[in-house]
Amino acid sequence: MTVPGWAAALVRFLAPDGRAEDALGDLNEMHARRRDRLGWWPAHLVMVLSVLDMTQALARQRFVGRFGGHRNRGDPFAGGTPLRFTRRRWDVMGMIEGWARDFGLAARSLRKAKGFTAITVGTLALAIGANTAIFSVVDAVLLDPLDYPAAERLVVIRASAPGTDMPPEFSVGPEFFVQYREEADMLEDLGMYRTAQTTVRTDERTERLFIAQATPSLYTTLGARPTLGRLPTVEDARGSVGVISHRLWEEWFGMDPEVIGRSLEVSGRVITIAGVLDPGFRFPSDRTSVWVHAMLGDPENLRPGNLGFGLIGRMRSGVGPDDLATQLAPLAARIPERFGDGPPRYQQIMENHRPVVRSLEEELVGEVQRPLWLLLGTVGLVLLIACANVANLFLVRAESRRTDLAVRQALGAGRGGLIRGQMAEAFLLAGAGGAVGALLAWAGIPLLVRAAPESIPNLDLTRLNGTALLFTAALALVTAAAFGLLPALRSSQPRMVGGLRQAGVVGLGGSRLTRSGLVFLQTATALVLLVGSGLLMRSFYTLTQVDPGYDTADVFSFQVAPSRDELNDGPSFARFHTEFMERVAALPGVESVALTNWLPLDEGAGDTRFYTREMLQSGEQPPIVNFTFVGGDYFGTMGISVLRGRGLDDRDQRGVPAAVVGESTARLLWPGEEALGQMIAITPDSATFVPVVGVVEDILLESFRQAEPDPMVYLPMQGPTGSALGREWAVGSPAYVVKTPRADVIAADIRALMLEVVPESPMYRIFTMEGLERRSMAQLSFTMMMLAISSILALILGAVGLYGVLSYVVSHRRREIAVRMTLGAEARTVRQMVVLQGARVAVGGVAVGVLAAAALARVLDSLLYGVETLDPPTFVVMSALMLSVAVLASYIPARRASAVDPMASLRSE
Amino acid sequence: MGRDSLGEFELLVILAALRLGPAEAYTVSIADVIEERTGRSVRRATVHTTIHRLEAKRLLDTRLSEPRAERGGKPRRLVEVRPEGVRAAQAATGAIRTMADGLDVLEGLV
Repeated sequence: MTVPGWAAALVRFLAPDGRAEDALGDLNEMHARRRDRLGWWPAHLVMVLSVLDMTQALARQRFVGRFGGHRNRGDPFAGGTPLRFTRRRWDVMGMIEGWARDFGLAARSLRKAKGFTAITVGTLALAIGANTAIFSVVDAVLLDPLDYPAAERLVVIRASAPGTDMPPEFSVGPEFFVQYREEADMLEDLGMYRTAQTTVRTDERTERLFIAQATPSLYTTLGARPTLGRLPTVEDARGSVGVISHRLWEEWFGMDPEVIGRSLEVSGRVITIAGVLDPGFRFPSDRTSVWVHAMLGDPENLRPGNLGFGLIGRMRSGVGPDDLATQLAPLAARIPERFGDGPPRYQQIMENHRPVVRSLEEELVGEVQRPLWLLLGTVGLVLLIACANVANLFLVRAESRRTDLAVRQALGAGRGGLIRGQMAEAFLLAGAGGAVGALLAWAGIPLLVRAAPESIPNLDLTRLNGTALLFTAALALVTAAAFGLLPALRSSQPRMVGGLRQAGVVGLGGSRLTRSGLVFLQTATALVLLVGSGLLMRSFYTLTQVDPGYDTADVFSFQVAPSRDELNDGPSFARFHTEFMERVAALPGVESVALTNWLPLDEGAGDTRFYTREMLQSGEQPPIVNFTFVGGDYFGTMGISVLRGRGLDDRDQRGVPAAVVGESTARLLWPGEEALGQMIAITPDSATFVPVVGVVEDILLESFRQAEPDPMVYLPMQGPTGSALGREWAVGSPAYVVKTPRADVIAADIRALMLEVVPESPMYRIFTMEGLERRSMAQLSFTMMMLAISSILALILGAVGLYGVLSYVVSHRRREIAVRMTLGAEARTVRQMVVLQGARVAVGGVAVGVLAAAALARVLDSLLYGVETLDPPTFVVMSALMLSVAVLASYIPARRASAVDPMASLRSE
Repeated sequence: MGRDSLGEFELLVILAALRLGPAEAYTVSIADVIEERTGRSVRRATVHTTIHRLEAKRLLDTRLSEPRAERGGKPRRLVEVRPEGVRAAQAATGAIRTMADGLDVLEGLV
């Protein structure tokens, strides 16, 4: 147990030569002792105190030893002459004492100004807390995302084949792995893996988990270390062993050390658990739970063309991704020479092949990088506004204390002393704001993590750690400087001596300009945030209006994976599911039940090529379309309209297969023709033809943001009986969909039913379609929510700032207003005058804000949907909102101005 | 006070270091001994500073021990009292004894 890095650095910096290490040792030892006695939290608290204590003592030793203290009584090396000059120049202790005195004074005067202190600390705490919380997320996700040794040398290797029908980037086959691993000397190591989501089972549990099949070199490439047991090696037989994630070890095995050697059923095959990986190992994703040992057979027998494998490489130091890509290109070009040409389509890919090498870090956090930096920027702006506000409050406070300051100055206080006095207040307030802010962040981080989209990697590692606290401390310091320095400099100017004579009446012009400048800044910043959140809100609204082709209301979904000896082919599974659907349909409140192999918005769907008669004849390559198997009244349950023909029903489920296609599939396969009554083949073989019996509306499979709907083919859950195809065609663990107004609560009924009918399979992947819809929009809605909160905060702070300035102006122009009113000015004119003054500042701020927002809105581009970055309505509405709030904030001081009693006001002067 | 006269806390540190011996005396153990025997709480930072000061007065020597695991791999600064230190301690305790001698109110305390 050692003290944190910041403390060690501080001690090393302050300690006299050679005295840091043992002092650190003392701190470490005491800390370990207190932790055993008091527990983690109290010990850490005391540790911070004792580090401060120690550093103070060390500083004293160092500086007093060098400049003051006993040596000053007469240095023997200086012939007994006191080293007085050093004391003058570097009076560290004197400075510390001066600050200490000023902090004491500041604390006392702040205690008297309770309202001021509360508002200031509150404002700062909110802003600093928000910054600390978002920073913690950024720290966990972006700044330190990879817990692997020398992670900067890890790269993901994929392929591109421009000019073919392949996606812009795709994963490669084992032949690439063999070729690169043997030939590429820029690679130190190379691992290969493939991911899947599959049923994993022990005696007690069954769940659908994300797994990876990985070569032993995957672990060496990443530098993985097992927490327990060992890693698979080349000596292990293929598929015989596996390692599990730390999380699975906790959740399934209660961290039982006896887990090594136990067996686990993965996709129906039994593997032995060889080891548990350490918690930092999260490759290829946070959710991967089991890594099954995979090995290539003899590389020379490899048949090329089997794509879909991930490659992760470790580059030699000094090599960059571009260098590696340059080296890999000619190596890949020699693959057909060594492994053979492969199928025609593969040849086409290889002719156009270009390797893609990307750093693992970019691969993992590339997508979430922008929204997170965006959020950090957003809360940064809020902090800026908060600083402007507090600076304004400070100016008011300084104004009201000018007499006091002038007296101090007259009594001989230097400018430095006056500034120090005010800065002490600023530091105290910022310190308190930072401390409360850290507490807020500590409380807020769990909420933030819960609200954030699951897709953010390492999100669960977000903690309020030393780095974040250091960030908070730095932020508090900078904040204090930002809001304290300007007022301190202004109010300590030499001409303030005059303030004593004039008793604080005039000398207003410069200060008002400063304050209006601050409000101007606030308005502009707030408008940027308002426009940003306006754009996101419009996107969100547009997205919720999208018709995905299916209903999301009142649809409940769950998965079931029956496992019995008699369930071994398509017909047996179909019988089981038909019976089980009937049981579910009999539950109270259930309107209809169906099943599908792939649920929209969850796992996507399978994709393959279906052949039409014409394509089989001409040899034309069919396009890739999505397909899924369905059972029961799927279209009715999901609310997918049948446009022509019919949906799939019992007839098709009893081994006389038929197909239903989506509209865009119909257009794709039979352009200009009627799809109904056509035949499609599942393999390039006319024996597998099935008739198209219906055309249904298109659906959005992956997300509501898709520009184009997915071309779909629906097949019945039971394939043709008797044929080889029919035996393969088994729907083992489908997702059930249940249409019921009780979608939110029906899970318990179904669980009870499953316990009775399929005790061997628990219920898993439990969703409502509405929940999936929310999840698919999570990144947008999260960013929108955060931006909306920020902009509301900004709007309020901006309004308060403007209100403050005008109130101040009005109170200082009382006399002028009184004169005007005595001379016949109407209350209305006076009100107008004040409101106009506020509006002038606000209009300026809005004008600059519009320009800034226009420049900055581009960063939102990837999140927007159905709205341009320069959307005029958003800009107009938000500017109008900002202006009306400004006018409202001006109106209250304006009323106060017009309520001035001229006689009373003049008399009091 | 003369150059070699000891402050009270300096005296306590020297006595504790003598009690522990050169192999065991370092900041934390010295503080522990003083706390244990005097019943008052002692800041480690003060002990640290005092050792530094006594070393500057050439009343004791310090050296670094091997790094130790319980200290996060950091060494101890072991303290050995020089003969001058022993003499200074004798002088100081002697002075106190002489002064206290025969004072009824202090009977049994020194």
